[in-house]
Amino acid sequence: MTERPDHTSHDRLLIAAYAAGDVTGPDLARAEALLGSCHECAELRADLAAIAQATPAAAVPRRPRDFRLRPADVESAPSRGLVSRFGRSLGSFRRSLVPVGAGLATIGIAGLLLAGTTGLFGGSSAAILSTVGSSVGGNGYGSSRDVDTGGGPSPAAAASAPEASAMAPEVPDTGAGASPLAGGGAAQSLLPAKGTDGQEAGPVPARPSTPAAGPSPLVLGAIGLVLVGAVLLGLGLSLGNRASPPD
Amino acid sequence: VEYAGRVEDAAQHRDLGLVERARAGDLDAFNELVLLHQDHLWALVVRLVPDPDQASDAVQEAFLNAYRNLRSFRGGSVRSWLGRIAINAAMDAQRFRKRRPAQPYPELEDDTWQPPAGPEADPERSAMAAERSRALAEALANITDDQRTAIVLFDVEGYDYHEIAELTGVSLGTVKSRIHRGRLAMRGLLEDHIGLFRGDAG
Repeated sequence: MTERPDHTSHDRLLIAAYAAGDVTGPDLARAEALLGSCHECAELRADLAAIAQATPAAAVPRRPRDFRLRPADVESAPSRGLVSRFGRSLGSFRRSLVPVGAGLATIGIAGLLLAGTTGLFGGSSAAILSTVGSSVGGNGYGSSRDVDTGGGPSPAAAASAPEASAMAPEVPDTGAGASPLAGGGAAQSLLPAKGTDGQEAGPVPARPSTPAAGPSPLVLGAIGLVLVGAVLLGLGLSLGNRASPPD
Repeated sequence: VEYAGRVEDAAQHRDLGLVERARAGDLDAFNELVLLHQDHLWALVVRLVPDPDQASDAVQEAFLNAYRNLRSFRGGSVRSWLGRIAINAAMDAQRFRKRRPAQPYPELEDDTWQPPAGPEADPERSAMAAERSRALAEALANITDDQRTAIVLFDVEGYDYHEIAELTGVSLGTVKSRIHRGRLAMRGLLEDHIGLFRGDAG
């Protein structure tokens, strides 16, 4: 029985590169030495070359249909190439979208939590938070019992939520509108505790009313980070990872 | 060679005329282009996306994108321009497949699969060629999307390393690596059929 070199420890990738004609310099001598001493490496090289040569003859299924366009296809189909082109134009930054987006969102959420625990939320800030919560979840956590800012929903918010407006029979125009982002739930959550006649509209617990001061920069920045992070995260996930690292 | 060159020139001239008419809003002219190139685009895309349903959608999307972007055609080969659009559509479909697993790969014994016609007149050689082409298709379908894309673009479509790097958005070294590793993976998948590639294949 003849002694055979241990083929399993040989550099198969080097042989594949050699078979493709992609080996130069010192690697070339190493590859030729392997091919000269190992029959299996030589056989592998020949197989790889044969497979590469035969690949254009790989079977394909029959074309299933005629791809001619109908007028309806051309007129009704929305353009779906923009996202793809945008993704390609981002180049290597695409790989960073998901971690950067997740990081920004995390920092933003931490900022919001910090603001909440340190009492940086003013009345209006709480309203904004309620608004953000409702626009994300479709139903704000806030209720008419929680918020008493003295500010009514903006006309835009009310217009975007007619059903909420219908549920608010008498909404005073105090001039301090809520965010136009407010959806139906937010509009409802911003209902004032008092009716237009100045009488109590319901059993609203007494709570010190805060002036309609703007939210602190920390809160605004945190909300901005959360939103930007969420956008980047979504974009990164939808574009995938075309520019993957070497195999 | 001279005759082939003249035929190619005539085809290119015809394609450019159809593009001009299509740019003017003539959908029939564009559909003539579709008829001329749909077989090539189908074969290209279905090799990149080995699920016939998804490949079909990708080809349709490629033709729609081509129609919408006729203004972006800057001259040259219409076939190459369509091919690049189809490659992008196929890569989009590959990403979609990663999120949503494809239908199981169809059995290659299915008679809807067609080995390319070859010069073999001998039935035995024809049968061997058919078996080889089916085994190749199956191996190609079972390597990674990235490896398959690089191999199809290089071995089948004839793009060079730089063009593939540009099309796929990766480095030259990555393209080479994908081709080398992909061929090694195919060699492993073809272990039981390797006899079909020895002897008369080289």
